[in-house]
Amino acid sequence: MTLDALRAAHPGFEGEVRVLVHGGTCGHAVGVAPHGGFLRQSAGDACAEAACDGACWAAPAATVLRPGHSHRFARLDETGVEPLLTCLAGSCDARADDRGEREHRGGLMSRLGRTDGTLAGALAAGAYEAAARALAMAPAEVIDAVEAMELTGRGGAHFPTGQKWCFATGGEPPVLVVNAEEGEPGVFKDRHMLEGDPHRVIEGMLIAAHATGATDACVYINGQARRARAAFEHALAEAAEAGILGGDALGAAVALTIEVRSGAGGYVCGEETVILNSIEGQRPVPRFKPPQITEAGLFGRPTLLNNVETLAAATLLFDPPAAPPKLVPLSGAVARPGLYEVAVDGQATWGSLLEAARGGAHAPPGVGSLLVGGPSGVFVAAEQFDEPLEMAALGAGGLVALAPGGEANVTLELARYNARESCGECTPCREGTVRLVELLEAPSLDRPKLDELIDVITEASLCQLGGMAGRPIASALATFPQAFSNGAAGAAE
Amino acid sequence: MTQSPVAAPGTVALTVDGHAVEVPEGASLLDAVEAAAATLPHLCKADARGPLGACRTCLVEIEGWPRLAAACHTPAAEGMAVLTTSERAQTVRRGVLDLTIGMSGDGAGSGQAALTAREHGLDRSSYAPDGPDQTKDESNVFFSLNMADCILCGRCVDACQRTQHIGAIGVNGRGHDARIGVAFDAPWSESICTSCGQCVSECPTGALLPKAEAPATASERAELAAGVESEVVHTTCPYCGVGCGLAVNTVSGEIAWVDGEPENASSLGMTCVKGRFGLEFVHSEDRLTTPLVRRDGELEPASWDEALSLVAERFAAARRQPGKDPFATIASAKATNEDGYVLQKFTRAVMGTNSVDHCSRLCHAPSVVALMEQVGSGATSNSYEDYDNAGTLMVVGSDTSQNHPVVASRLRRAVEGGAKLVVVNPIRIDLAAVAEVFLQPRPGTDVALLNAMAHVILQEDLWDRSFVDARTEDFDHWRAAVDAATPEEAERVSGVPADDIRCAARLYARPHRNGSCLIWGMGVTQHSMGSDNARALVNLALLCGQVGKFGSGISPLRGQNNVQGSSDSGCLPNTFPGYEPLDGPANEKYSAAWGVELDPVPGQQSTRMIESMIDDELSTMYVVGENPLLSDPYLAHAREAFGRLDFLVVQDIFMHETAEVADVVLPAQSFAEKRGTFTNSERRVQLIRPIVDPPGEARADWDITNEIARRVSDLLERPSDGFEHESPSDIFDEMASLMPIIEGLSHDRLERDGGIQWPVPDTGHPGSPRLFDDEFPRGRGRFMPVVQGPPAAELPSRRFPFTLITGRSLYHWHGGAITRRVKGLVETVPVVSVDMHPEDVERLGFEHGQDVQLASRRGEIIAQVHAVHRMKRGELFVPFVQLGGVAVNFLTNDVLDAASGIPEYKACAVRVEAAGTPSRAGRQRGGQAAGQGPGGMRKQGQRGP
Repeated sequence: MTLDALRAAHPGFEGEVRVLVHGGTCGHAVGVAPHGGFLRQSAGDACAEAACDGACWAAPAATVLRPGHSHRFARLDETGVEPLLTCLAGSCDARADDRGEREHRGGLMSRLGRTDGTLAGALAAGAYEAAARALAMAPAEVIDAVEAMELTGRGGAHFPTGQKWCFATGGEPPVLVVNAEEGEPGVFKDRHMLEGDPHRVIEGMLIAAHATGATDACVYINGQARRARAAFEHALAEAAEAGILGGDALGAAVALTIEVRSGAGGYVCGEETVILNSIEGQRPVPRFKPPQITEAGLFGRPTLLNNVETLAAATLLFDPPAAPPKLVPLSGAVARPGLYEVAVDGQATWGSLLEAARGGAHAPPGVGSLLVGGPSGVFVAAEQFDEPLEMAALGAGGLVALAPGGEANVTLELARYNARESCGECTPCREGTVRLVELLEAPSLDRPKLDELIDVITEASLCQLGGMAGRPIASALATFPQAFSNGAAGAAE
Repeated sequence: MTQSPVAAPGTVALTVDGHAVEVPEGASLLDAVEAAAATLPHLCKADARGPLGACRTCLVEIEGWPRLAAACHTPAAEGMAVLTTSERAQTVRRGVLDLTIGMSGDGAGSGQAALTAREHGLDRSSYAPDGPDQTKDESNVFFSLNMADCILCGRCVDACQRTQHIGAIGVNGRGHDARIGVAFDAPWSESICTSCGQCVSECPTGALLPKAEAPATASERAELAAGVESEVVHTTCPYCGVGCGLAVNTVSGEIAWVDGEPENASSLGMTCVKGRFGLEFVHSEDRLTTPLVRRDGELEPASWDEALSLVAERFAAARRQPGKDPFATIASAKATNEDGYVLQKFTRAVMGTNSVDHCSRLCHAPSVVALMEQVGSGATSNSYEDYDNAGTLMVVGSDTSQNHPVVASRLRRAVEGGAKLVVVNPIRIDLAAVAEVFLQPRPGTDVALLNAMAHVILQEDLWDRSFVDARTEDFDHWRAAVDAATPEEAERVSGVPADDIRCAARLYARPHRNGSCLIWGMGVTQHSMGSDNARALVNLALLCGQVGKFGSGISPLRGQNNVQGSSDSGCLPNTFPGYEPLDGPANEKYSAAWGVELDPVPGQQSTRMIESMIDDELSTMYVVGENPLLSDPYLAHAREAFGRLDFLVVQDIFMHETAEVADVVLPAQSFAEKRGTFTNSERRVQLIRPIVDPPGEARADWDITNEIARRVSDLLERPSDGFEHESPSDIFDEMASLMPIIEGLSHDRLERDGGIQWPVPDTGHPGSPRLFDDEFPRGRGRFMPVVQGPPAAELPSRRFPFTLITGRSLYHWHGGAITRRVKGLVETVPVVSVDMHPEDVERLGFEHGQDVQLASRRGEIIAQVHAVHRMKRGELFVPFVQLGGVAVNFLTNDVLDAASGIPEYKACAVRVEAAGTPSRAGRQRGGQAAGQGPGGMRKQGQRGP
């Protein structure tokens, strides 16, 4: 079979006008369902449910798509559906066309929340083109292409993906494990991808499997991300039905089986060896290395572990953007929290990113600092907002904008979070994270003791939850020393 | 910095604090540090276990590495420069220890954690202590858990899950709320814990602590390690036939605590509850300390000289007595090879009879009969190690977890490692939970089941044709007998679904890797057709060629610590030591060696001695370390028989039912007071060493028998120089000079090399992990046709509707003479219980835990009902331990298997009534039932001659 034949077999919606109601976790959290129901009555078959398109701030929202026109109607709860129905009827203000805004976002989010959630919709929007091409190539050429696009691990460590794939070849074929745990607060990119464009993730997995010889894969999805799991499993079923998985719908025989697993949750479940233990049914605690998981990982097998976004980005290998794209979930003290895609091109700065979220005329109150990387992250002060973005500094990408003056409180909360989320396996993290909270809660800050303890936890912990638990504290102390003059608790009150 | 030299092949060279060291590839940095004679704390890393990486106290700096590394799980690599004493490493290690002792109730830590912290200059944590408000669990009889002393190193969990493969304990909760505990946070005693104490031995802080009054506390252990006098004796466990190595620690001449021996290839560092917590009987006040002689009907203390004079006189008189075999000896499978050898030599050479036997008659005699007939050797053919490598393990009639706990651990370990387990047992035993297929036949239907497996294997062409052609005989003759044995017919007889039989047959015949091991216990042998059951098993092994190769073998699991050795040493009425026949060249060899013409006619089997006593043929007996008046079936009858003896000598460590009726009682030393060897179920000859001084005047068995032999010889005016052994080592040398199977062994060699598996034909021979690799001792393996007969000599009837199965309990040893002297074991299992299916319990109107009366045609007992799903309806299980005067052998049937003389302990018919129901037969307890016409009844049921 060929891709054209596959598309022909999945014709999808053929009308001119489409109304996409943005469901997804964001939309449903703020009650999009009644609006969707009303629109379905009005627009009939033209109305379908899509996921969030990244504009979480806009929910509840719906988008009208017509040839030459695209218009997202935000906050239907405030504006009602009348303007949307007017647009649907054909009289729409051309100035409201938001296609430009979307093109600016680049390739990774191009289908996010823009299709009706079916395989047909995804195929019509270009899904599986890259996989079909990759499957026709030699695995080594695919790896070369991924190396050429300089793709790095989007879980936050930014290890070169091509190199990782290369390590996985040569011996026993690896099992592919996809990290979709994303357990830390302030990060929601992978869930958006699984909800809004699950076929891109499957496509990325097909490319990785072809490149490395993997014939089975396991996707580990956060146990609370039920919509993400449901959307992904729906896509898997469609892909299997269509012969994309286990068939030759892409022109070459594909022998990849994909299982989905979920854990009971916890920040530490995003650590790669914890994922393996969790999938195996073991207690979710980290393993020590060596052995590296590439040698002995899931059930002792050689294991290739990639983040959802990494695999999604791998689908861009034949038309790589000029600058590497990064999904950035931005929340906190901004008018337009949501998922953004930035080109890390040396031009973009923290400030330009904030500008996009500032919401034009509706300027938010000032942003005092950014927390980058969640509970393992660092603070970026306002003075640094002009510095260009770097991929490594972005980590997994989660940005939380903080109002001025809240740093000490946030630092204490992060310390409590890490203490709560420590799995308890090793002494420095289990005991040390609790002692960090005690020291921060003390009426006066014992700075030498705190520094010493951070050093012990950082050096001695078994995994990076402990290894990085002191990082935001050290960063806060260095960036906002005055905020801690009376201890964190004093400042927080 | 010293330049690292280039490593030899297979090793890596690195430096530790500037000193060059070389370690094998795969060694850890901790190994390298220890090779460099440097020290590092390592609270969660036990010497004999892999790393856990949890305590983070073994941190070192490695030049060029951005972070410190935990030495326990970081592999040593070529050219590494490791620094243990750098300021950075020391500061961080100290910081971790500060956090560690901060976990304790008082902030000072305990055990090794406290000691290590003190070595790092920390007397007390700089953090506020967690306080005393912490979990305690005192519910286990043998040990307690106090979380205030726990550092969550995980060694106990590792011990439970990955050493013993029990999985009773784990970490409950997460993060700072993590606690050691059992499932559902229940009290420890309500878990599946078997109290093996592996966790207690591993605990570095004393959070897990034995309850014994002796200074057996782990924290004190740490103190002891720091200088208090304690001594360790390496010895072999005195309980079952697994042969676990024990490191027995004594303080001030008393046994204080017991650890496993990781170097012991049989036990790999494990023990069960009895090995670890069951040695206090050695110090029991009940120990016999002086000879006793019956005067005016009472046993009274006497001097050794008086007692032995009397014994010698009466033995000599018996020797002079005309008639057939007035004298017989029962040897002890608890005593050493040396003890047994001297005893059988005395019986044969001085008393002129081959009537010497031991309790193997009551356990594996049918296995020995079948194996001798079919392959020519009665021992286990493989090593325990083969279980790890087998593709299929088939366990028939063995509740291994109760009887051979450490072998059960090895089986669970093998299953975890990929072996498939087939369990055949009328009771749903623990191992069934990890079995690939579990067959639950009606008792006594094994032949039908095993023949049907053979039928399937032939029909589906799964058998090993080339093995059968090259290595066996009588195949065609046998094949005809299994042609009709279809799985459907077996289903009808045994109740096991035909498809399950097929599944088991395929798994056994075609293991997915290497070979199949066949493992069996008393469920096979203790039947009136026990020898046929064993033959059916051996047929199966021959058909599939599952002997002699890697990961295959046949294992009759041995019950007593030295039942293998007692047989090896010649305590059998039909063979000389080393299984040499009583006639022919062997007779000449032994006659020459012992300086007397030896009788080639076999002596009496122990179970047939009862008959001889009743017939007044047997008048004088010497019973060493055995208690037939508890272990024989139909005890009322046995008591009557022993009552007819003219003279009975009992030599033992405690008074017991048999000693009470003796004329002379001689105090023996226990395993803890003497030297010698035990031979375990995998033919491994292992040393035991004296741990404590003997109580009172107790003497070693070999020493007592030696002196009796000399005195009797003198009275008979015969030379006594064959009994002037100076030491067990002397005796062993004589044995080695006569017995080809241990020719290459000596105490010196065992001292040097540890336990060795016979045959060891010469001093350079490394021992024999596996037998029969290219031929059987009898040449070709022989197929023996067997057919299913009635399932038991006594079948359930309207009056006696239940089938009673007897066996052993994990927490007691056989009749209980030893384990009744261990407080914790008695506390754990204080009364005799009867396991019954809950529906039967309900139908009869009983409640779990109430006392009921069990009655057979031979006697009655009171037992406590346990409603358990592991039983099938209509079947009962009672352990044969005597507790509170209740012993199930008052009920059992003394019908014997014709070929082996074993009684049918595994099936008799009983009824169950509320306790206190007046006996319909007008009898009270079985003990008083003697003499009421039992002879005729027994003869009715008896199949043997």
